[in-house]
Amino acid sequence: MRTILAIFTALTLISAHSLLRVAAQDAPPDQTQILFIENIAAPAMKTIIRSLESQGAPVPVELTDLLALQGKPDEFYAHAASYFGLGWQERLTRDASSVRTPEDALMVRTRIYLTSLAANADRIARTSPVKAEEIRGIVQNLLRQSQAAETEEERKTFFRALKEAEERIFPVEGGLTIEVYLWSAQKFLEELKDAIDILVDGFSANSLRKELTDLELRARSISGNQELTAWFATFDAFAEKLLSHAKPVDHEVILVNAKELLRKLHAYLQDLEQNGIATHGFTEESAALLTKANEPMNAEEFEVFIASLEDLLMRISESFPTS
Amino acid sequence: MKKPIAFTGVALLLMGVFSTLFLFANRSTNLFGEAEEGTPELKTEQLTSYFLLRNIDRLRDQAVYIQHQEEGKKLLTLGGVDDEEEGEESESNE
Repeated sequence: MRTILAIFTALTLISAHSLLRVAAQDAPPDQTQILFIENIAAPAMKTIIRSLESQGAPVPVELTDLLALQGKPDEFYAHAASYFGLGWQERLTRDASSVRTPEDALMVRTRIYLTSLAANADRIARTSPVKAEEIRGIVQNLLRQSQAAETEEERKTFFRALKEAEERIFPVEGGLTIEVYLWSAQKFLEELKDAIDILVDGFSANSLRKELTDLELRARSISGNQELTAWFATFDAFAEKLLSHAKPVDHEVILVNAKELLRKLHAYLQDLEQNGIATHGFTEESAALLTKANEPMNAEEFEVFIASLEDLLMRISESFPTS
Repeated sequence: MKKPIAFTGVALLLMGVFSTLFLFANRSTNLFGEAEEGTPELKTEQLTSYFLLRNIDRLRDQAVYIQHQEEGKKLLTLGGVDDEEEGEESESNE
């Protein structure tokens, strides 16, 4: 019965798509887009979102954002093409029509996950040992494989390939865990309350401090995946607000500050060495960074320089505890 | 080269560094308490602010990483391959 229903829905959606294409031949292009979005794309996306929700799966924010663009056909098309890739219309239609059996719903959920993985590859690559470009390549292969997987054995083979990819992108050895992340996040949020005045002014600081307290408390009581997903959404919204209120930073001033800091740090470390106190190579590292700070830098080199400085300061703070 | 994964950039620890090593430096003295002349005061507010913002960005990126990692694990469980190797190993042990 489920199979018949799925086939019937697929045929209906595909027929509607074809009819709309024929009808659209005489209509202006934006009218075609409006008709397609209203009658096929948006209902298909809603079906997929309902399916994800019923499975307790996270709904990628890009999907809900895309749905919110229904009234702006050009933007909707551009975002859909960039998010789902070529052939997104057919894929959405096919996926929406095949969520009726648990096995197919799982494959659709996996494809939505893979699409989100590709869309967030740059951000994930900042923590993962795999580069963004490579993540996108892996995802493309897996998407193709998932679409071709029809039998149980083919699906099993697909999931084995997914497992291999997961182990590379999210390694267990030396990887980031939820526990470590939440611990660090709570610690950072707690301390950020005291430092928020450095970032923003007056009223914004007070209201943001209240939100920080709430976020910190909620982070302590996270016990499941859905709570975690909800917390991430709140944290992301908070971070967005904080960044929008943040005082502008001047890279030239930062570089001047960094040079002065390094100069004083280096002099201090030399003092320590002259008095027989081991500095664990920090004197040489600070000298090298100071030399780098005095060379011309492009934006990318500046980022590398700041990251090196941050890393050096972090290791010094670990070697010379403040308390 | 493998990138550092643990949360290593807590800017507040850096503020700890500022408040000890750099307050010392700001005193414009050497280890023997002799005053250094002509040392400008060290201003770290912009730098601290920049580090804080970088860390907020890093936390957000790590949140995206964790979310995908967790959903990936769930999918492998649902796909029936998450503990396949362990199962095979225990079978071979028997």
